[in-house]
Amino acid sequence: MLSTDTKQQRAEVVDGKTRTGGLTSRLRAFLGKPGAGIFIFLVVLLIVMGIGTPVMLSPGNLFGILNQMVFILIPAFGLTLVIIAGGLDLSVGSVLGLTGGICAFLIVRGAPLPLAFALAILAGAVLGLINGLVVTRLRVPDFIATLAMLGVARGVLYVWTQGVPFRNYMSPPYYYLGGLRMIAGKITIPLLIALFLLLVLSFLLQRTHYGVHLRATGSNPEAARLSGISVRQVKVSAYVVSGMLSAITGILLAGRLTTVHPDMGSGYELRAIAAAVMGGAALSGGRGSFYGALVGAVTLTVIQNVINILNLDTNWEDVIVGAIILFAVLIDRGALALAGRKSRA
Amino acid sequence: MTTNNSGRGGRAALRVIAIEGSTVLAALIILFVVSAIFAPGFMTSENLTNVLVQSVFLIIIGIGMTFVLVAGGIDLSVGSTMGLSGALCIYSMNSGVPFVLALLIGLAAGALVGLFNSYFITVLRIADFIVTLGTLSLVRGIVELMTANSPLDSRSDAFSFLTSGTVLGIPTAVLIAVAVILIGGITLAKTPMGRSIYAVGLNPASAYLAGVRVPRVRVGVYVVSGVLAALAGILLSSRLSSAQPAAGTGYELTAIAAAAVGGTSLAGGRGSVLGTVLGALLLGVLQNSLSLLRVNAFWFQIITGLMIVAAVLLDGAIKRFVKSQPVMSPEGA
Repeated sequence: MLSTDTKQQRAEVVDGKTRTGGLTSRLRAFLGKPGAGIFIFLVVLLIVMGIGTPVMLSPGNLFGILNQMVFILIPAFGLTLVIIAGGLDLSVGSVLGLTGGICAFLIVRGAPLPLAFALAILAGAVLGLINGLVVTRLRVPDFIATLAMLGVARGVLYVWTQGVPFRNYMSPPYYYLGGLRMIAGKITIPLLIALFLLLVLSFLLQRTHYGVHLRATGSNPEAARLSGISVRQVKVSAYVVSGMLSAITGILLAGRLTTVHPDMGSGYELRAIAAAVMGGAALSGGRGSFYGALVGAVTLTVIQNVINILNLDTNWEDVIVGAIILFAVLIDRGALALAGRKSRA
Repeated sequence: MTTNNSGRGGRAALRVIAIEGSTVLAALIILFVVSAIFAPGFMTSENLTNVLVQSVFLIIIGIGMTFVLVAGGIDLSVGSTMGLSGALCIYSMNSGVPFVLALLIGLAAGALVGLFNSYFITVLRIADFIVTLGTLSLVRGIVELMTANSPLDSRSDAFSFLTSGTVLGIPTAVLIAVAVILIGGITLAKTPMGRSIYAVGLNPASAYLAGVRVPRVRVGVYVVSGVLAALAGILLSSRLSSAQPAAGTGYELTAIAAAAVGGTSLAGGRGSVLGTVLGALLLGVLQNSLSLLRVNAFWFQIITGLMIVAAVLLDGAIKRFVKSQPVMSPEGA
């Protein structure tokens, strides 16, 4: 599946060169990538806003957007991975809250930071493993299994804490890790972690056998199985990584907010799915990109920023995000049509 | 269907379970008896009426969700639609629109959301999950814009009567729910329209080849879901005498849970209105007795999550059992 896809793309690039020269073919190749349509939308939005309100494009504001978008971006990486493997993870917001709570609890109880972080990430991996096993072994649809996890993980956090937030776990290093104290002026550690994860995950997807297996599993599970890929293991691994990424977000967000309210992270699944889908991830599986998720997360945060700068009612955010979720697939499809390739969204 | 199989214990049990709604009915009866024994104040007529009226919202949205799920779709926008119709209805009445017309405006808003959803799903061919997730956010934003800065309060007695009044001793809301159950149940189980919904959910391609107008059926179920969500939203805002920005939030998940627990397959093609009603009552009784027992309300969330998975597993077991049965034995008649 995958190899024919890339071959087709290569053939078209060659075709384009013979017909219209280098620039057009390169443009076509770009438009065929997941998230290209939204990227153009984002650039236009930034230019229009920049002309109207120059504050928008000031370095301070731009870094503010980047530092803020991280908490949507990292769970969106997890969703992109799971969606490429043909699944869906609705539990990221709840897992993020529960693991953030575990981390804060352990620190309050005197655990050293690295141990608390490691155990929180382990907890995220276990929750992801449960998701993956319920989906692959018990054959519960992805949507339902992770919906149940959304309810259960959030419920466990509330029952455990009796609704009382975790406090008094902050320490100087944690202020840096949460991004409340910045390094080199305006850059936060969460942003650096997100960019590091972007490089690692993209390498994994583009350059390793695992990435090939992942996309094959999502594109056509039956064909992947017949070519000797352990479809179940691949899918479980995607859920485990998604759980770990949610846990990393939970740890960072706990540092950013300085208290872990039992409601922390609720609704993040929606934003993360929006970012992933805007980045060209197709729910039918096999298609998606981490750079696309980056574009999606930045776009969502820019919209939030625009609403603040224009002093609009903050409730417009839900309306605009909803409209963008609806039109993201169409924009992606439009870019694909311009690139002369068929959509699979 | 008769079988020539010597009834082994497990198989016999599965055969009973395979009768739609029987498991959830059994669970409901057990929970009811347990609550009657252990939960203080459960068996008072006041409390039982309360459970019934509280369950009306879930029953009505759950029936709409059943239509969509049986047709093989999903509708995540129902909770937001609830908020929208309630807000529009009260807004219209406060602007001097007559009561009945205001109700119709609320219901029409639901139909419009359903049409909007089905346009994106059937014409633009975007995944139903994504479309209705988008509408969830879009419509909720509109509700917030309408109500967040100045909450809408209703001063209409007729409007309050929808949920607080009684007719012949029966709460009005319960009568409305019974009407929806009868109409919805008969439509889905006994009419050609109902049969085409099952056909589309089981296999859209073969339904199309059999002459079913698949897009029309899909539009139909989303409009039904939107209108019923609107009706539930009107009743909810009548009960609260106001339209809140967050009214109906999260109902989409409870509605899916009620349908799934009631035996509706999330893969499409299987389910019944009666099952969903029993599922909604089960969740209603559970929530009520947990609160009477002063158990942390979030246990409800945990239990609901686990029940959804259990229901889906049971559905899978039933499907495999039905497949393993011979279709007709020679002596069967």
